[in-house]
Amino acid sequence: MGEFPAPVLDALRQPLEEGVVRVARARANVTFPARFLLVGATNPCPCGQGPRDACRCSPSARTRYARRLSGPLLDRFDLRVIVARPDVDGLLRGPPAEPTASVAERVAEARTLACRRGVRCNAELPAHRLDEVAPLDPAATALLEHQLRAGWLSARGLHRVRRVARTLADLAGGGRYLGEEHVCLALGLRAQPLGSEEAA
Amino acid sequence: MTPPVEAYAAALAGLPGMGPKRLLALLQRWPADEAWSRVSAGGAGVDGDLGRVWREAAAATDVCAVWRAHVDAGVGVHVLGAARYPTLLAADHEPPALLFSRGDPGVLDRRRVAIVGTRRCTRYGRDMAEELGRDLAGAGVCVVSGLALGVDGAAHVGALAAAGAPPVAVVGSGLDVVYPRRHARLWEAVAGSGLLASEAPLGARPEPWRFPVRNRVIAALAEVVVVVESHPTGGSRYTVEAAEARDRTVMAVPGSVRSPASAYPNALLADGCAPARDATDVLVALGLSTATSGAPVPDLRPPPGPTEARVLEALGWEPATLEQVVARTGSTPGEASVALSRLERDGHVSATGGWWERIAAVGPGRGWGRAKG
Repeated sequence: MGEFPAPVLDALRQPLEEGVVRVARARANVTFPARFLLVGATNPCPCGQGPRDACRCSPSARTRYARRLSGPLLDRFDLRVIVARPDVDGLLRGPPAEPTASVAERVAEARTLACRRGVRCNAELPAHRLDEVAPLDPAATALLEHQLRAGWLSARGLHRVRRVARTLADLAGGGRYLGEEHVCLALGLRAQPLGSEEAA
Repeated sequence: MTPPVEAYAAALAGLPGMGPKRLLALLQRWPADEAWSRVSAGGAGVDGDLGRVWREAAAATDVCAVWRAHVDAGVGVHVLGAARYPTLLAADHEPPALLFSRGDPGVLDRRRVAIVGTRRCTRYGRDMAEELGRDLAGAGVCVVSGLALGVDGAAHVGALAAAGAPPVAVVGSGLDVVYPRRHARLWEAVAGSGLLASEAPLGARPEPWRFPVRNRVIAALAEVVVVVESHPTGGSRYTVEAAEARDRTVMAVPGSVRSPASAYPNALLADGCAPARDATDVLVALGLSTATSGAPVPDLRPPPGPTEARVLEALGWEPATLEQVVARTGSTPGEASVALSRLERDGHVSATGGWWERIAAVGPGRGWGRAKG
């Protein structure tokens, strides 16, 4: 994604938010359905080496690179995952990972739960229904309040974190309330790209 | 109005192709006003194109206007050999022929320590630079650095936070060309409370060649040079070479042997440099009583709970991902992420780009524009 010009990327913001593409011309306004799943990838910095010491980029080059993905666009991603270089030991000797078949079962169960809420997946939950279907326990509320007050989380981000936390709780077979654990993990899936701390 | 001799010196420094060496050669032969009239007449002993370029540039320069620009910008001009030129530099074997300053040159009368290092520092390097800057300034020692991103800036931030001895910054660009732009506030703060100095004339861009040259001025001004973090090919080695050529003490902050940013200071330690583990080490090298350094910084953060302490220990002092913490502690991702979030809330760790890093105790007074990360 870092290879696209910023205006092109920012044009995605409206369809991502509303699920439709609006085209306005002199004779007509047309609205096309555009509810899609956007999966994007980007390098952490121009040299692609990523975090810390292996990176040969200057701080300003990193900042410029990070700035191509605007804050409002990043804010609309539910999941922002840093893909770190895998451990050599983990690759060769680590315990076998969970088979995808069993993950698929849990995902199917979580999808069923979402369907009972009247949506295809939790990402489609409207904001006004979050208090009803994704209530927060006191610890989770305190954590989110801290994040909001510190300015690390926006209002839009808050809704998205709650939807992701709902999904995490569903996957874990959890109850009605979202706990601190679910919210923490959801927040952890909203990583800030490298370089953005220098731009701030 | 007849401009003072400093005005001619400043005008000479602003000529195209004029570097510190040529300026020194000119000003060692003639007083600045005479050198100026010789350059204007093409008789400054410089042959070929350069002599012609200088003559044309000098014809287009209004010395009075140059001087007014310095007065308006509050920039002092110190000519080598004049009364107000810093005595420290006058005794140097490669003195700047001309030094431009903003602020109070009197701060150079204090004991002085240079804190230098890479722009691409780690969290550890930034914390150490800030801590050393703060504790040395608090002990009345003037912190000299270069206002660059990374280690330099952190040292100045620390020194300003201490409200002790004011800092000195020697920069590579003209004093009206703020570089890096991100340090504009810091730049003004240093000029306002301490001394901002440069060998470059007003308007000089931060050209790459100016920085190694500038580093010798930092070395000449300091009694002790402390290298916090630097890659083996980094600019800090120019400062260290200049310091060694001047018999200044060089100290290095020990770092992880796995961290490339600590490769140069660790190599210096292997070569026999004294380690600078904290401000006390540096104060001892200065021969100052360590009693002036005051009490150690109290850790005001709430102590971590048992689970959090375990995670903190597993994290160590190098950045790690959540997955690594999970693998080291054997806890679930949920438990580890709750623990890390509590540690972040209480200021024990910080998260950047999916990496978690441990933060050392830094006392009060870190209000200098440091947000998260």
